[in-house]
Amino acid sequence: MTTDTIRIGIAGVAHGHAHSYARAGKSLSGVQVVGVHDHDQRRGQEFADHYGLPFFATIAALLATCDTLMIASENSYHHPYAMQAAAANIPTLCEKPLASNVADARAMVQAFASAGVQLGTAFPVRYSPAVRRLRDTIVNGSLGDTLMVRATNRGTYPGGWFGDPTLAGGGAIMDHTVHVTDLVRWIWGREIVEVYAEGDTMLHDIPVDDVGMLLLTLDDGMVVSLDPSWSRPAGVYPTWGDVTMEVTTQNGIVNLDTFGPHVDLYQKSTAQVRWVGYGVNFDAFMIDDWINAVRTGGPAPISGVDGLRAVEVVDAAYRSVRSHRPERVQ
Amino acid sequence: MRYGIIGAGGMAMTHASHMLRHAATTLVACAAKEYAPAMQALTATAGVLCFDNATELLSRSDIDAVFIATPTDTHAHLAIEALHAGKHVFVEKPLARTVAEGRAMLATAQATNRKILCGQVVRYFPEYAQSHDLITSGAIGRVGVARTSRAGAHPPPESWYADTPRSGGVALDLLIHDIDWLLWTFGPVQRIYAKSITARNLSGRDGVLAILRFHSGVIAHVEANWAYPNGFVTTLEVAGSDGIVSHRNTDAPDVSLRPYLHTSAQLAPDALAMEDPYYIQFCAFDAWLRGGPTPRSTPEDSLRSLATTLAIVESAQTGSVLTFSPEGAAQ
Repeated sequence: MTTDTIRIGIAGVAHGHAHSYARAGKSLSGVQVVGVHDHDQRRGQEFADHYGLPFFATIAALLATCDTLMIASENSYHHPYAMQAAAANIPTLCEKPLASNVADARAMVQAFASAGVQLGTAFPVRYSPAVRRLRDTIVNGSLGDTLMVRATNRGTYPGGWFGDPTLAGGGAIMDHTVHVTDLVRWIWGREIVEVYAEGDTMLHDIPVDDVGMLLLTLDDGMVVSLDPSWSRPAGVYPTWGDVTMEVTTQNGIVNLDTFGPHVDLYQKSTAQVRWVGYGVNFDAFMIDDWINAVRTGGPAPISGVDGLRAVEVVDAAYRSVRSHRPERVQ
Repeated sequence: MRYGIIGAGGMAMTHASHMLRHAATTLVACAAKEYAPAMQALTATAGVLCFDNATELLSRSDIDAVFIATPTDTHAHLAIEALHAGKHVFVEKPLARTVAEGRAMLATAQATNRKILCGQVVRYFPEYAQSHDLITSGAIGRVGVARTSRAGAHPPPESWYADTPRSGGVALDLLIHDIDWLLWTFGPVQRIYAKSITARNLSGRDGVLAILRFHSGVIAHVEANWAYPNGFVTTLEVAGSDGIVSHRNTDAPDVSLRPYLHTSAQLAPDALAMEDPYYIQFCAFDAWLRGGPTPRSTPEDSLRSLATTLAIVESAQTGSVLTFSPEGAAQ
């Protein structure tokens, strides 16, 4: 495995993480972003120009120059980009959700397993120090059994392709179920086996769901509720959204507010109140961890299988929305 | 970098943990008048040498820099002795008990060509750094009025903190943090008027309220309070022509626990401690010694913060309004 500079290719710039990857190329030592591809040439070219990077007209050309691919495209493009990367034996960190449907996600995991190359899923919230503290606290066992968890991953409607069912594969439930799903699997080390969900389009004039409510059951009977709604009013709510948990255990209650620490900013010229966060930059730690795995050839810190499991929960949630019954995770 | 620590209290042990954690630093020795259990633990777990006097520690050639975390009235003579012994010095805040002592420390550092730094850790607290950055980048327009407060329980009567001639009391323990942040953010002070309850000699209660006018025009109110039954609360609010920045340390913790009594429930420590302002401050000092950039607060900044805080004490004692030139000289 290479010990010198790790060359990053960015596939798709539709997701904000593309900016994190481009900036990491400048701030991390031993890392270089070699170029950008996007199926939307104009958008990709603008992004490339902004960061002074070359634009590649095809994924194949980009893959020929990089040691690792970072996919930050619309959800439906994860699969074609990743499959080409697997065929080229390039370790790939893919934006969440791993794919816009279970079949695509499975095919990706299978392709990378066959190639013997790492596939990772971008779940940066695992790198929150608060989340790590909660996990350590649970693992230490001083709280006894966890009885139930009330979680939220609410946000403002992000707009653009997030509201396009073809590109996104779903709405708020697709976008905001996977983070908490992954945290629950990681913190408690259990699998989610059953999902009941309600979901609908109630708040915006868009062709995908924007509100939802999920009840998840784990294989040991622990229950987790999750609100993934795009319910924070844009322009009025003081921040983009949240990732919170209230954890009821045998020995006490733990509250997690991942993006809680903030300074209040009341601004006349923008007619806005904002919570300006001052926590650590999770993305930077996630990228660092991933690059380290690429460099050493070690396992993906957060694997493609982790990404697949979250997509399976999303799938069960959408099936439940349609059937009005609890659905098994498959 | 090879370090020694003088003192064996809470802050000394905090610094010790950082020296042991940092990959490129070692803690060679500790010195304190009386061996504390914490020091013995350092010897047992990390092979740290222990001395019952600073001179022996300072005579060692395998120590590059020392941290001084002792009662305030001992900072000056220990720092000056360390500098003359060829060591760089990090001294806990406040820089010294008096301005004259502080000046002598800085002059000695210059004469011995050694570096000295005072811990003004609030500049490394993310909420205060974020507020500073927002304000100085113009997020709230022209600043008009600022309020800070810092409040906790009175130290126990047997503690040196409670011995005002030694420690400087609530002003040099708490108030100086906010004064340093205000000077960093708004520049030099023009006028001070203060009141305190110190002279009433109430057991277990002390506090000071002051109004500061800055040369930039900003009017600030500051409070330091040692009369809380428990807890520790800091607040900050700054209002400008385009809005307000505010923070309260008890708001929105990212993880918290309400345990049942009589259970073993407790939060795990923050294993990463990536945000620990004391560690970030330590790393900044260590990097500075290796030729890196000057830390957020210079020794001159700390001397100004000390002088301004002591002026507040003086105003409270004398009932005088004190005025200062933009260079900081009393008028």
